[in-house]
Amino acid sequence: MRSSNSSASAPLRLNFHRHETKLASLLLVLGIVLTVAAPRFFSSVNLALLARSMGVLLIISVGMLNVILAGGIDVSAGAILAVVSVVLVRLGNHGLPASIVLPLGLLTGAALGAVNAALIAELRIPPIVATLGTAGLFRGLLLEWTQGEWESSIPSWLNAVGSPRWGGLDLSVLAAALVMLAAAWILHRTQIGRSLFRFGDSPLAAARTGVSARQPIYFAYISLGLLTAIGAVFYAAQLGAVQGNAANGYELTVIAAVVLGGADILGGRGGLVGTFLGVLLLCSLQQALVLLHVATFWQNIATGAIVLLGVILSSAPRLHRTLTLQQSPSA
Amino acid sequence: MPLSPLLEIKEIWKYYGGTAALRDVSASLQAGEILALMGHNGAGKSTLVKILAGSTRQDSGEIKVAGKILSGGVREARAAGIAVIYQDLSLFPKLTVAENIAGEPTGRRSYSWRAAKRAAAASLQRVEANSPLLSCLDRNVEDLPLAMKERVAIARALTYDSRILILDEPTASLSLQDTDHLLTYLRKLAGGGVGVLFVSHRLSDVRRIADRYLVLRDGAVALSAAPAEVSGNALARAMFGDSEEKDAAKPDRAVGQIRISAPQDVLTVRNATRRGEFTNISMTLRAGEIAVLTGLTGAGRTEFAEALVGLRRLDGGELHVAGKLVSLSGPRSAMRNGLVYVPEDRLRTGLFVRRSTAENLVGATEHLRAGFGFLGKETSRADSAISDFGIRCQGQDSTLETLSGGNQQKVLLARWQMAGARVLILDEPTAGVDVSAKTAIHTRLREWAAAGAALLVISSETDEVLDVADRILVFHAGNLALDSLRTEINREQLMAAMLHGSATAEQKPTQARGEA
Amino acid sequence: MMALRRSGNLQPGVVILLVLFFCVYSGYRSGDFWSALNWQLLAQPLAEAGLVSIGMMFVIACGGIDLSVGSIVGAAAVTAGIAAHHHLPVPAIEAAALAAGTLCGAFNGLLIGVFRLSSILVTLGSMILLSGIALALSDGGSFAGFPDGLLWWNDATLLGIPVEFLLFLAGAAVAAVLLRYSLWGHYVVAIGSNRIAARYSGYPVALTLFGVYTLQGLLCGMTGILLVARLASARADMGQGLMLMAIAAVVLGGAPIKGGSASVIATVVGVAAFYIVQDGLLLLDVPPFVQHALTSVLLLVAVAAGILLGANREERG
Repeated sequence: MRSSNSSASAPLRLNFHRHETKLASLLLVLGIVLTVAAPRFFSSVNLALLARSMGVLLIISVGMLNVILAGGIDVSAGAILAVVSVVLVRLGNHGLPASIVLPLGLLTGAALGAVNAALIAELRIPPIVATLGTAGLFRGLLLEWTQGEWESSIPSWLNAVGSPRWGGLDLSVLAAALVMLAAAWILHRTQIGRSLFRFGDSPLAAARTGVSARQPIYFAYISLGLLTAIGAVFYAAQLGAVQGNAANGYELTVIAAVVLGGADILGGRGGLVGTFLGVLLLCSLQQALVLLHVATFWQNIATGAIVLLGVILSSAPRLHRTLTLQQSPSA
Repeated sequence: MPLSPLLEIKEIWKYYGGTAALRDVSASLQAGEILALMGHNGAGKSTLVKILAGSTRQDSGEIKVAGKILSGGVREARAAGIAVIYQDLSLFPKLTVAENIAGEPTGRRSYSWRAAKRAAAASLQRVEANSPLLSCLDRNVEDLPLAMKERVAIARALTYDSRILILDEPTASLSLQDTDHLLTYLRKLAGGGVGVLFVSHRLSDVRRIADRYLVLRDGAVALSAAPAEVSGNALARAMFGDSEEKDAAKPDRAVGQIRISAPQDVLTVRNATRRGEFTNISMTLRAGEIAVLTGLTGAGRTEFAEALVGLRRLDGGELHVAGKLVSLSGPRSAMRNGLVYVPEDRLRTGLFVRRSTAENLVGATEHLRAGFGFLGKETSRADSAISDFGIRCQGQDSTLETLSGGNQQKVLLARWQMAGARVLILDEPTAGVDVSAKTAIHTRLREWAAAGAALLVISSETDEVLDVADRILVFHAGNLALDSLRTEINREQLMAAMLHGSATAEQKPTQARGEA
Repeated sequence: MMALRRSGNLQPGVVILLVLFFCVYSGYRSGDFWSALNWQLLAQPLAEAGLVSIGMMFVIACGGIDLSVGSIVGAAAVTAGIAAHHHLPVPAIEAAALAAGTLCGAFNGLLIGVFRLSSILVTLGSMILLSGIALALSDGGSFAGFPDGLLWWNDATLLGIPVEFLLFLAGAAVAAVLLRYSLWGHYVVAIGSNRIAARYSGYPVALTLFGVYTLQGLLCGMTGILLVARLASARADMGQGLMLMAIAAVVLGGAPIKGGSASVIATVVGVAAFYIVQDGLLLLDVPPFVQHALTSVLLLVAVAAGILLGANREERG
């Protein structure tokens, strides 16, 4: 029998399925290399920096995980991130208090996510096409609004959110942890979370067992929009400035993290532990390269190589079996 | 005293566009009754099932369960106690067994995997004491063999107090043993008060357990009676109407130009072995002969067939084609040696459902005749193929998915016959095919062999085996238990070989079956 | 058109209608719309995106997707820049760029076709990887000083039609022939329609897919050269935006994103629609960012319309 790569029905059980173990070993290798090449990596200062850099990506990746689990994809996340960042900063700079601006920002993110969901659920537009369209739409309107200008000052309360506190960490780390816990609970302990897995695995079977297509789709894309909005708060806070072209292409990094983490791009399989490890791997890599004073394009090369490596590794067992004809290719 | 029926179907009409899929269909099902729903492909059976399941709504008419009218929707049907097991099982392959069985939305917000596991175990116990699945609750369904998947589907249907169980072609891909098992189980369920409605093409199964027949033809009820009241002829007439499809033996046409270079019409296998699947199989396939390979599910037949064309690697043994030792690595190299493999799951592995009939007939094998890498004119060849092979479709441009299962299979076979294939391995060529198409296909196979082809047919239906074979091969637990001419053995010996691995094993009636 | 209707794809028709309305409106509102110069200027970026879109058409038809096209174009451009920097003759520069593109495409083709990895994941990785390599090779800067022989591609016209555009038309014609009449084209569509059945029917799946991605790479190489010729410079990020444009064009033409069907005419209609609309909006003094938004809306509307129309037809079956 083939080994199973099962979707943890039990969440907080430490299920080291095949993929997560491979990922962990990759991380281990990276850690060893770093211990030798750049031991400074493990200093508390640097680790705190690492944690801070992971916050935004992790929060948004959880949302993307939902979407990918449900068998979809969203390439408008970068645009949504930019829109919400600008909304937050501009409204804040106009003097509105955080208590109004923050909820408004979150609402914006959720609403944009809802637009995606509606196109996909109601009009049956394939997810990649729908989100391609909304990405252009959101981005275009945003750029029009900002006229391509930068907002280089952000409200003080936003700044405060992004400033390091406890030993170099900031609120984004806390937020990311909370988001992960909430997601774990929702994905594994609620019907709506399970409906994501079911719908992503087999929309036909889901329909036949009474799971409406609307529920998982709306939940997935709205949650992504919402989480992107939360990420936008910390993004703007950390960056200290925003502009219309912010986070261009960011969604691809998010997708890369989720996929590295073992989620099946076709849906129905994936987990939070894996996503976390995927984000950790990507961010560690970037951090390490910065420490080694390597030029920025090496980051791309390394990230691209890691993604390819991850894809090859996760398909290796199946591939090996097929290539050596131990099993027919349709199996 | 007539009880009020458990399920009432009243005057159902359903239109798809301009055509009526169901016309004034009325029927009823009592608690504890087993009703067999039969009919030609396209007669409306699956439409009716979909309506009962709640996934489609009827245009007029009512469905009542225990007197209460259902207004539609899967949830409501479920809540009313209707459970459907579809032919494709509709399981979630990437999820665990436990989740498949007990994970359905129950209206409550929360989900507990512990509770799901418990409920799943309980369900499994109800299906079968000491079910082997109990140890597999955390395995992904995609890793299980088909027979186990069926059990999962049944257990799922029973998890939430179902009063009405609807099964669509449940025995189509089951072995004898599993079919027995299932039918016995359905009898038991009915005995407990569940109403069972099952759709089937297999008259032998239907005859064994149905309390009543309901035959649909062209969307309307053609017959509703108890088995005792109906003769085989009356049944056939109800299903197909008076003018039966006459697939009279066509004059023996030249079976296309030979494009796939024919071997010396012999395929010899010596000591073929694959760890864990089959051991030491030796056999010979001869030109002009139909050899049928049969056996219980899991005996290793399909694995053997796949190994013959190189989709699986042999751990031991040799393959000779036309006296020449070959080592095959897949369908392409097999075809270069003259071997064609037609796998069981035709929709998934053989046909391009969204392409046209013409393309499936002719385009698919153009690469065997095209020179300079360019395609020729498909149209005329496709048209003649459609008339020659008696394929019922709306013209050669109609997409393949509009054809019935039987006609799709005809297309698949026609394709290879036209390409001049001379050595074929056909896995369950009549699976899911209605009776008249099945007969047509059998005739076609015989003609093909008579024209010199060598056919290896894998089949699970004893009737088919005995009808079609010139030579019978029986697999039992990975071994070749029997290899003899059709004329040399009888049904009992065949069954014994399948069940016990030897034709001369004692023939005890295999477990007590339900009455009638 | 007959072929289109037979295949049940009404979407290009819808798009053409929308674009025609738009053209009439634009022509009415802006005197320049119908001028020769306008169309000459329009034809060039259209040709560049068009070549990539044709490649993307094959990729989508076989059931895959290629996210790395932008990076491949950039890599090819940078290669041309390096070759020019070393004062190589024009044919050598062109050959270098084409080779670079083809090689990148072959890399994708190897992983996706032979190793059977997921196309979206592989091209995601190669996109990032190649952009990094291109950036490294160009040191993040741009190359200039290209010989006139190369810039000829941009300047030359034949009967008033830019040579770039003619090249695109020629490429489209070849692609159409390949798609409809060659075995390879047949394989591509069949694989997208049902990959397993294709394998069991004995089609050379690995080779076909390898060819698809390699061809895409070649077309990206060509686009790279054309871009360099038009902008007289080479940068690693030159191809940015082409990927989304190509996917959008193919989809706008009505091809199902999951594959199994393709049409060169439909793809050309898709590309043309985007560029014509964008150009028209520009002439109507619509702010550039709003243009971007509006063309995205065009995509959504056309696809939705195509789906709704298709859905109506399916119900009857």
